[in-house]
Amino acid sequence: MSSWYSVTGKVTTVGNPEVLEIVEHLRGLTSAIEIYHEELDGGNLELSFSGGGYMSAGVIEEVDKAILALGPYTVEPAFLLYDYEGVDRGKIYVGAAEKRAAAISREALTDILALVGKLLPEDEDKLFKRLIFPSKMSTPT
Amino acid sequence: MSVWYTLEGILGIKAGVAVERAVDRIVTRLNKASGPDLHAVYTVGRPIGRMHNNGYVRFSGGAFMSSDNVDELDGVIRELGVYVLAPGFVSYSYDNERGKIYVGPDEKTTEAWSKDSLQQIRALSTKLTSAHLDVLIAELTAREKRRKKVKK
Repeated sequence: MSSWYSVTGKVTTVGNPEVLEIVEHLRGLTSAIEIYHEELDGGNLELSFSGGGYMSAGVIEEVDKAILALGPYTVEPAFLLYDYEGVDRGKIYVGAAEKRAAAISREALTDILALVGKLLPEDEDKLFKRLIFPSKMSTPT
Repeated sequence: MSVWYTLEGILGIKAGVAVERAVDRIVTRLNKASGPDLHAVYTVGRPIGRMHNNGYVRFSGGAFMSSDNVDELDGVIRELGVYVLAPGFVSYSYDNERGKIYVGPDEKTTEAWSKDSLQQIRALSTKLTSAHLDVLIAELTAREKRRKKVKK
């Protein structure tokens, strides 16, 4: 059974054969997600992901694995946006494993601060109360 | 400069002949402004005798367009606000930046927007490290202080 899956966004990596190998592997997995690579000054590569299509669960898993494999080669952590069937939408962290928690947290904080402005005062109070009772929350260290 | 803009979602529409005409006009304007690859389809509720069921408008597709054109489309979508069954939203992607266009009667839309934002924040806050959690609490404290100042 096929599902709709798309990946969009940009990742900057060091320019080396391993990265190009991963990109070729991705292109071989699916032509629905287009990947453009551009050499930047200094030899780094900018990879642009766009588009999506129907693909099997196995291919989606392989695509995710290949994207994650770019992690160690990224110049700085980045996030790609994925869309699974128009229902599950989120971000794929692409970066070094040791920077993962901090980068995801920073990204989440950026998103939260943008959303806080949309809260009504009573909902802002609810959020505040929830945050100051740490027992109700799980926070990564 | 063109941007890639997509819309996706369904809005439930109240029943009624006058509503149908008004929604039909809005959807026609919307489709004229968006082009063939980004469209809204209005499915009128099936008539039962002299009564009508509720209908719905489904948004789908994407197109390259100017930012002015995007603003125009968003405005037309919001015009559906008075005809929707309940406040809802249409998801958009604007050059890969995702968001929601809230549609509903003004006051209720603000409430729905706030509730939905709160829900998203709750999910996102589980990803925060303790340092970033402190930043968020500090921000909320500062906002509360500003609110109190304004009240005084």
